[in-house]
Amino acid sequence: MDLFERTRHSQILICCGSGGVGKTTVSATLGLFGAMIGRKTLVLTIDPAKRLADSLGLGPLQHEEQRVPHEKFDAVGLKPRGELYAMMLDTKRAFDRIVERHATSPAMRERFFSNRYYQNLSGRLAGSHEYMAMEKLHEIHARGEYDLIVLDTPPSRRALDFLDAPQRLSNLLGDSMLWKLMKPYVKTGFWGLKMMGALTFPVQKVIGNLMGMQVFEDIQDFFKLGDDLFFEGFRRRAQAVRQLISGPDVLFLAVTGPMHSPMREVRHLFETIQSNDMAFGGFIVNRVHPHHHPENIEPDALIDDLQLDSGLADRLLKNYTRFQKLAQSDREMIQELRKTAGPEAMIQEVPYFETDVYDFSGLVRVYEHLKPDWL
Amino acid sequence: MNLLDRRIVFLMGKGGSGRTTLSAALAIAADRQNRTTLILEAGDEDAIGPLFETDSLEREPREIAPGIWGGRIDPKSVLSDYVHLFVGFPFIANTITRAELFEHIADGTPGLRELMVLGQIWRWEQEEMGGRYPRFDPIIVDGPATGHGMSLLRQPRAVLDMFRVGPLADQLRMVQKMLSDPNRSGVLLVTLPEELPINEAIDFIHAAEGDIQMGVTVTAVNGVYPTTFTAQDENRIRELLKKTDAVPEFLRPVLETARDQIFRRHLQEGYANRIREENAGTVIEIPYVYSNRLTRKDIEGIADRLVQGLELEPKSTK
Repeated sequence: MDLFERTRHSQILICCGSGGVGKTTVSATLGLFGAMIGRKTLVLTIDPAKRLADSLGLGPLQHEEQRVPHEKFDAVGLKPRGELYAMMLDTKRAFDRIVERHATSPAMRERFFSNRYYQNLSGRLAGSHEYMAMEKLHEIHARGEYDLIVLDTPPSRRALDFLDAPQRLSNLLGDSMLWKLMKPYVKTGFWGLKMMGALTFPVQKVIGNLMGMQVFEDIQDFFKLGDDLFFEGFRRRAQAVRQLISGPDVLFLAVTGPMHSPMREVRHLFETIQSNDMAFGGFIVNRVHPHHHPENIEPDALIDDLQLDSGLADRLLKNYTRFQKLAQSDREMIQELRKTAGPEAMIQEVPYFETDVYDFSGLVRVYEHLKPDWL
Repeated sequence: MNLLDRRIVFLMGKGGSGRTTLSAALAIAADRQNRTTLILEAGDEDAIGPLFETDSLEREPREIAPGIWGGRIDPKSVLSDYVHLFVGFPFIANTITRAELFEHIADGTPGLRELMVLGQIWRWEQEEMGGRYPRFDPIIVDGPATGHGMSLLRQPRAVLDMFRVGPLADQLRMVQKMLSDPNRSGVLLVTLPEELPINEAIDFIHAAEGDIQMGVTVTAVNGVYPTTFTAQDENRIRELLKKTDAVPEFLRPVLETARDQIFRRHLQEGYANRIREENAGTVIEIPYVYSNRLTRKDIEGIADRLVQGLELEPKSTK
């Protein structure tokens, strides 16, 4: 089964893989396919390369869904039966929306926004980008406006960060355990906290001394900002997000190149997705060098048949052998992946083109290569 | 001032650009200068050990090749060390670092991990042999992917706004001093001669100048195809491919592979030139290795290229 056959009935596709393997390209190509077969499709991406964003009609400061204009399709001679939308996620804004949603009063919301710890947290917390992407996915999916949503996961060295992200953030913000730990000290105010801390629970004291008391007060204020209802709301939401991504509407795809380390990463990803009982759609191996026949060519063939001098014949063969070796190396990497993935798994190869894919016509090129004959 | 004369070299670059390979090659180049190098891997990556055909690196530096030491920075254990150092009573320190709340705060506090990484590097930088000579010179840091790498270097400045007083703030100032001193810290930026990586590298250069006030000392453009063909060759190949009947079918792939190589090679040249127009420091082109698995010999070759590109004086072997 090929990539498009495999994904044509899915509602949500999540493309994962380590940075630099072409996740955004693959996501956009899948989106293009969705639009071509008549589905209203949204490609949700975090920080796409500038030119790719431009090619989809995304301006630098636009964080709303943008329809890819008809002229783009006309220019390359495609007639989509559906619609293609793209959206760039603003993670900071997404964090603010969570606060807006769960805050039980406007005053609470304002206090959050002006808290220094929150301001730092929302921009930098490890895994927060990943979580925000999932959160946004949930929000858009719940609206039910799209037939297909393709999520291009944030660039990270570790492809799996997004799986832990809901848990991590939920731990920090919504974990009732943490909240309960802090609350008694928080409720009794600063002196209560300091005394209780010093006497019974040295953690706060040490952290406070370590970081400087002022920072600690910011953190402490932060935990005072929400009430039980707020944290409960957040915790439930994180659970719902987790449920969505483990549910039947979602299909995970692993994107990689034929190189050693991204391959290792997607094998690991595959195992984690399997052990979490999530739906795995298959692997996309990007930029695979084509293997040519014949394997060996004698210099004499070039010299005699093409009337070349022996110097050029040697250079041609040297170059040919190098790329054949590389193609062989790529093939071995894919065979190794096959061993982990089993004979049933889909492994879709995308060839290495002689130019990089970074604009709409580049996407169309990948799409044309992968599309089934009936389209 | 030469890159290898800095005490600490941070390797920065997008994932997949070959940052770890370049870190290893730089360590080999430093070894050829009779220097004792420490190469540091951050977080849970495990690539340096296998590259030197040895076990995974551990926290305590160990010699992984003659003259080359390798160590791992694990922010969490550094933080718990720090607490131990600070508290003084092992029992209390243990209680603290094992508490769930500690975990939460360590996880959730922005920049704490990065600071621990930098703090550890600073400690190794300070270490001396016989009270005179630095134990490691230089220290090579295989940094995280560009985005995160930037936050690693940016952190002290940003967090100093938050942590104004307290022992951590004092340490931060020392770390900041270490980073902003061009005699002590240098950046080797690794990129690929392709559209997106070059754009990201240029963004990094701009951000580094503006945000962290650390210039890029050297930019390595990794994976440049060799110039296999002369301009004359190129014309001849183009002509042959135009005449379909002149080329037997079985020889076409040979010519097409050459045509694609030539085309890419020109693109790569353009990308390398684009980065030269920026404040990229010394730009060194690293030849492409035609394999997905690098051998020690491949890395030695890259080290040769670095020695040449950095104009290092050849020194007699130890």
